[in-house]
Amino acid sequence: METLILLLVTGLGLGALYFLIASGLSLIYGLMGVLNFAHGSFLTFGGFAGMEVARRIGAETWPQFVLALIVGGAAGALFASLTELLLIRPLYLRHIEQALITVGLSLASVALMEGVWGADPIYVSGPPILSEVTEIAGARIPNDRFLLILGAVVILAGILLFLRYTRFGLIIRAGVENRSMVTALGIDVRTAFTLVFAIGGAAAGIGGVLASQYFGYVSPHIGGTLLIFAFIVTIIGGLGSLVGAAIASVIVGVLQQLANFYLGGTGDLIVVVLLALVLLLRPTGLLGKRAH
Amino acid sequence: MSLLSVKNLHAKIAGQQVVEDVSFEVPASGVTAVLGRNGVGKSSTLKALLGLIDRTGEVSFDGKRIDGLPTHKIIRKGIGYVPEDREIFSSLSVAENLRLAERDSKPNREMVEELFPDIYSRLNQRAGTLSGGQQQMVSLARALLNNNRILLVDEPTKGLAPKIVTQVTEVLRKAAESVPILLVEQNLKVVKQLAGPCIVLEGGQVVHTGSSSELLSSDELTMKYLGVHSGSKDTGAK
Repeated sequence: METLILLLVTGLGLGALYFLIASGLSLIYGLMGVLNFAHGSFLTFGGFAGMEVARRIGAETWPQFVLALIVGGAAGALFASLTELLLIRPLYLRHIEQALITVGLSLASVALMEGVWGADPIYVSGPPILSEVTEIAGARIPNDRFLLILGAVVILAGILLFLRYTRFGLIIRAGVENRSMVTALGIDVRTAFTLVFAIGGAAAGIGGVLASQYFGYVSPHIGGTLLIFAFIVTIIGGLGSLVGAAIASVIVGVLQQLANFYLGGTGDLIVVVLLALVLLLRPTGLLGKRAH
Repeated sequence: MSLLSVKNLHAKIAGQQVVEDVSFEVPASGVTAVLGRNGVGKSSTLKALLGLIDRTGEVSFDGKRIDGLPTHKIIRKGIGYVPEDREIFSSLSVAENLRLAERDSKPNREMVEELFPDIYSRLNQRAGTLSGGQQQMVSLARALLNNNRILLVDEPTKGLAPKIVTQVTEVLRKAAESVPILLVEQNLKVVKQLAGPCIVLEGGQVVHTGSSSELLSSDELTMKYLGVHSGSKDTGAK
């Protein structure tokens, strides 16, 4: 029982990390039709930015750690916004070229970060409580799992509130459903494009700082590793659906952990099988809709 | 004096030529009908005017070229668009659909509410759950909320029950008292009630311009251009 609880909470924590990348991926694809292979780099860059804050002022106290999270999120948002403005926008509606340029950016940015910070992992620490465990029904659960889950829930709630109660949120929701009709109402949808990239980049950047706590280190390849599963989560949840991405993140994270433990390390295989099943039985994903 | 002038308009969808060397003028008042059989490029012509599909040619609005502008800037010149098949945002509420469409500082909420009391009683309902007629009302309301200088209306009565067609026709008639309309319509009864001048398309090209009433009263012309007898309700090839 203790093991099961530990696996479930760890799966939720991993799912939370997937969600922090998948939320941006899903919104970006839903609104713009762009498959953003550079999204993992936003997470990595956010992780390094957070690490730099920790290196300079420390991250042992909560205010320091929160500052690292804010800087990580801002770094991710800035990287993502520049990507949209400089690389994606000039290729508007040329989806293949847009995808290819994000692949190129992903490779180049990893190489650049290797040049700046080296290829080896850089170990990071946070508030001491994150290195401790909390006992739940006999299961000793590392506290960083709870932080990941809390972070994802806060970001999910924040984005949902933004989408629900702001005009830009309204434009994004409408644009996910029918982008050309939004422009036909006289709305410059390009501003929403940049905003969605910034939101997705911020979530990924925060995810980078949290991922460095989960793994205990930050490296130039951390985003790429998570990106593959974030793509799977995005497809299973339904492209463009934030809630779908959240549900799929939980399913994938938990299933992966359970399969790794109970089925001899087959977590990745099980996730791919799940993806295949969803594509066969429900190609639009759990909560996805047909795009216009 | 024409409000909208189109010269040598060409447009493609997925590499296929759908509008070919189309030129016409839309006067600053009344309803101008765009007629023709199915698939001759009527809806594509409207989309091309707005830059919603790839196009070349000259489009001038109130004497100024607009063909180099992106769609949202063309719309902001004062052009309201009611697309074929409504294209309301089905996952948004009726209120959100209307709010999204408001771009003037003083939208015509009272006038629109007066015209469409039914949809104003369903503001919190998801637009996708409305009937076809109600969805068309939302689509029309979106265009009428702003003080547009022209409306481009694409098959507003398509697939609607006769009673709703009458309502839509009445709304368009009232709207046309204050704003010119470029109307794509298959229902010739509606065209007869509303339209002054008409433009007939065939194979993506203009093959006839003139008065709607003259065209629709001539059996020879309606057979030639629309494939139906002059007393028919709809254009052919449905």
